[in-house]
Amino acid sequence: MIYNPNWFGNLFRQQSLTILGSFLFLVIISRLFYLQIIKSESLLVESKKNAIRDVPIIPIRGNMFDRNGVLVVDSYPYYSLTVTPKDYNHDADELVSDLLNIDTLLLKKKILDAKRYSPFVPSVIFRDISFSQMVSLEEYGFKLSGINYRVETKRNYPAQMKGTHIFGYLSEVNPKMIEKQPEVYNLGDITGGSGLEKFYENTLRGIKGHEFWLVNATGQLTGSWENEEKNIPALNGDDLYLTIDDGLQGYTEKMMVGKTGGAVAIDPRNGEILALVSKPDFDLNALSGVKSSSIWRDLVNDPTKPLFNRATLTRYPPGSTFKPFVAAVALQEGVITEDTKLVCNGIYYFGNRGFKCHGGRHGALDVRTAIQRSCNSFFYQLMTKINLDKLHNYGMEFGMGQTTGIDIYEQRNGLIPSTEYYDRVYGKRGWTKGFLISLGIGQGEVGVSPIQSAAYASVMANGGILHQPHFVRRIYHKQTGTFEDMPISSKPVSVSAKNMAIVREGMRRVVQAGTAVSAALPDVEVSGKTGTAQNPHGKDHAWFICFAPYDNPEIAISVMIENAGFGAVAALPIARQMMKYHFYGRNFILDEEMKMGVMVLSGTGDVIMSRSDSLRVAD
Amino acid sequence: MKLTKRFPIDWVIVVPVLILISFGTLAIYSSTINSEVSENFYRQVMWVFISIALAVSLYFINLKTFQILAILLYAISIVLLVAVLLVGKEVYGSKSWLFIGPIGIQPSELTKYTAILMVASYLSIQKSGRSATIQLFIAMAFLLFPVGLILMQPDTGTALVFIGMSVPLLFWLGLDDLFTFMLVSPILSAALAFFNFYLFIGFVILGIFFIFYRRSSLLKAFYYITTNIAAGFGTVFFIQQVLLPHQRKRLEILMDPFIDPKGAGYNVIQSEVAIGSGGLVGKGFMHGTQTQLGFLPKQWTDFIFCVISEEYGFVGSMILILTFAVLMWRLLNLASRIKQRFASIFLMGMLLVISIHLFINLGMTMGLLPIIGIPLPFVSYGGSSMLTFMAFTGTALAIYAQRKEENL
Repeated sequence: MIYNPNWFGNLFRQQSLTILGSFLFLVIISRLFYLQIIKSESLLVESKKNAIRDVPIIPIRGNMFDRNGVLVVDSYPYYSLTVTPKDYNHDADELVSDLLNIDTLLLKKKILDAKRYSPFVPSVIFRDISFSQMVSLEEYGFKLSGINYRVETKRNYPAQMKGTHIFGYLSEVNPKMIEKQPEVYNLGDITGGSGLEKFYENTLRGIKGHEFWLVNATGQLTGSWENEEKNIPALNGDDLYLTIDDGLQGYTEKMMVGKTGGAVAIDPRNGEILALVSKPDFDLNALSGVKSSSIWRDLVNDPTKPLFNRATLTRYPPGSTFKPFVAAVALQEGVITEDTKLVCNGIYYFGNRGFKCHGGRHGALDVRTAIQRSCNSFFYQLMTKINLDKLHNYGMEFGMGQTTGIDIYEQRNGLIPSTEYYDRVYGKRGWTKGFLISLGIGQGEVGVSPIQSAAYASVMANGGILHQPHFVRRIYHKQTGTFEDMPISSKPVSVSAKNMAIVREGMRRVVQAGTAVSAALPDVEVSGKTGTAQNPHGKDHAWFICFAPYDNPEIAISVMIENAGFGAVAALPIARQMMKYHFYGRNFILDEEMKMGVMVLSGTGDVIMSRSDSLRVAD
Repeated sequence: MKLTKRFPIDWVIVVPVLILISFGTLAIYSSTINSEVSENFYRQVMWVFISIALAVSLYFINLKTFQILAILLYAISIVLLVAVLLVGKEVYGSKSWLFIGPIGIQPSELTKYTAILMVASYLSIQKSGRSATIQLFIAMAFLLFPVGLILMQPDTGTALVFIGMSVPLLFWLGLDDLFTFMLVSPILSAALAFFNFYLFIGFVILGIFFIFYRRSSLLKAFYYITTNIAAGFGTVFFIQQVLLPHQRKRLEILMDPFIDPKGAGYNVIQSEVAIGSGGLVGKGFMHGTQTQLGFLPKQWTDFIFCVISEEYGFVGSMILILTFAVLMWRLLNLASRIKQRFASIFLMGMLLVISIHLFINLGMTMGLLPIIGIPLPFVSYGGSSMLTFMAFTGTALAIYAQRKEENL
């Protein structure tokens, strides 16, 4: 029997339905328990991902001040366009590219990049949009879900100096950096690309803040999350107090306009870099905001290589500026004494090879006179007696042959050769002492950069201590309100004070009555050495190193001008003007310029210094 | 005291119902007041009052009158079901709304009440000359006739409620348990084979044990095995061989919504996220981000449970579920104790309607079942639904009040 009315609602049926119902309740409650207790945490994360947008607050990058407290680098705000790809609708492509006046394809590509990075996070796609563009975007805001703007900062250089190769440029982070430090960088963030901006990136950058916004299912911001209590303010970047003298730097930059080379001034008492110029350079403002790819491409392809820091990356033979160093080594190694006289016949023969001196025969001269008159024969002879590896080691001590440790990244080791070097290049027994003769006059296989040369000049200046050259004196920590002095390393060279004094005396005579008399200044006793680096590819490179005052030097300078001929003619005048600026001040220079009327405004509005040309005639 | 004696009220029904209505009203407030449909809250409050008034009126009606009224109401609802097909308004792809001025009603909702009232009434009136089996058939015809009309709208969810309810009701009325089992098992086999093949095999084997335990004939056992295996394998074959790839994908999304998180799987994922993120105690009234920020479309209707579980957490959800359990236990209890056939059948019908709504609705919001659009009784937004369930409640209370006075 399949149906019996007497079974209606009997105990069996009551129990069966109770069991069935209980079972279903059990299933439902288990599922509820699973979702709300076991999976609760991960689903909470999901719901936050849905509803909360973490909008980064970009901190203001730290400022830079020169040694006198002059503000040389700061930031000012500008608007950047961001997109949150998850909320963006490609229907708006036309409108956005219209409003911004950009190519639709480019826009699509940018949004795709942002999407690959993260669909949920707003990424910057265009920088430095104008105020009117921003306003029109606001007007169309209802159509442009996922499009937003962000206030970012742009570098500003308010002082006299350009500081192209010192400050360095800013650029957008590359994917590798994001991968390395995902907690620090987001797509489209700005980071130091060169110079101090890069070296002190962590100091200048500051720490990003977070603003948490609630968004609804269509991605529109609906309000702040938890009354902004969870928001984390940005910590602005710390300030750098530089060793640079804005006035001197700016003046040197002007002096160097139209030249190719580098000029470096260091305070020999502590290694503080007062000025560092590399020419040609470029205007950092061109790269401070939207780094348009065309400007960048022009810079990269420019045959004069304005991006290349000639003050730190070149490696040219130091020429005769090397002679005081060779003399110091010879004295210390006992090759000669201060009274040893060597004879110059106008040509020095080593084996059957002749090495020429310049300016005829110097006759018998001691080390001081040899420096003063820059006698080649004297130094050829020293070189035959100096142990090459000793020379190499001293070279290191004097700041050549290795990086100086300055606080920007672009540096080069330079070259002070050793036995190992010649063995490597020519093979063991593949070279003779004759290969080394020209090292004595700073030619051949020896190379220094202007910064190394300046470090060497400052060792000469202070009588034998190599202070690591540096740009930053101290860092101002905004959070604590304290200054942190930057530690510098200092190392004495292993040349005795007596021997250093002999060489210094020689360098003084160079200016008093030697090859660089035009470097002399009234009231200030200058010492120096000219140099000319032989250039097999073209005109020689001009060198000049100097320091002053002689008794208690406070500035040491190295100037290198590429393809300019003799150091005394091309490099010396710039160093002299730098010293003048340093010792007599800006007003003196202005007066001088007024008197000489050398500042000429060209038709294109460029400021051109014709000073060096006029001085060249005088020298 | 006199009043309570003359008009006894079953507080075990009244209190849970009021709790559920409060839950619903709060959840509707929370999910709509800040949205473009903020008037929904006031509408719902209005419907709650109208429905309570209806329940109170029904409470005073004599049970005998109900039996007469049943025919009238049933006839009216059939007329409305036909009318909705002719002049109804299409909302979300199904023609289930009938508008009288600004007020819209869904006849299919109201029919749930009238059909059960009709079945209870028909089976409780003494009839001579017809065998009990014939009477049962006629009763089932009353229950299932509206299904055809409802499917024409089409409103699959509501139709499913009628069909799903009919089997346990038949069982309650006295259908043999083995027969009931054999009736339902192929459907269960097909469903299980769809979700998990091993579950299906396990079910068939368990069924064989049950059949032999009941010492049934070999014929029945053979019938059972053939139908179930056919249903199970048929489903698998149908899915694998007959369905086109895009149709198969739709079915796959049912099982794993993350295949298509932005499309078909969206509702399920967002619903699970809402429920799960509520955690133990919830995010608090008006603080559910999924709710407040509109990640779930139309959450004040079928997905209302998400609002409650996101904002009140596991604790709040359990209170809601246990409230349902109390109400359902009470209905089963009364249906078992009261000897009047009309009362018992009606209460069982009411219990089954509520149960099916509850389990399908919660199963759907928690991702256990495919999305079937049916409301959560007393809780979801909707005038017709509220009206229907309060009509049930009012009638149940009337039955309780008159349970000793009549003996039909």
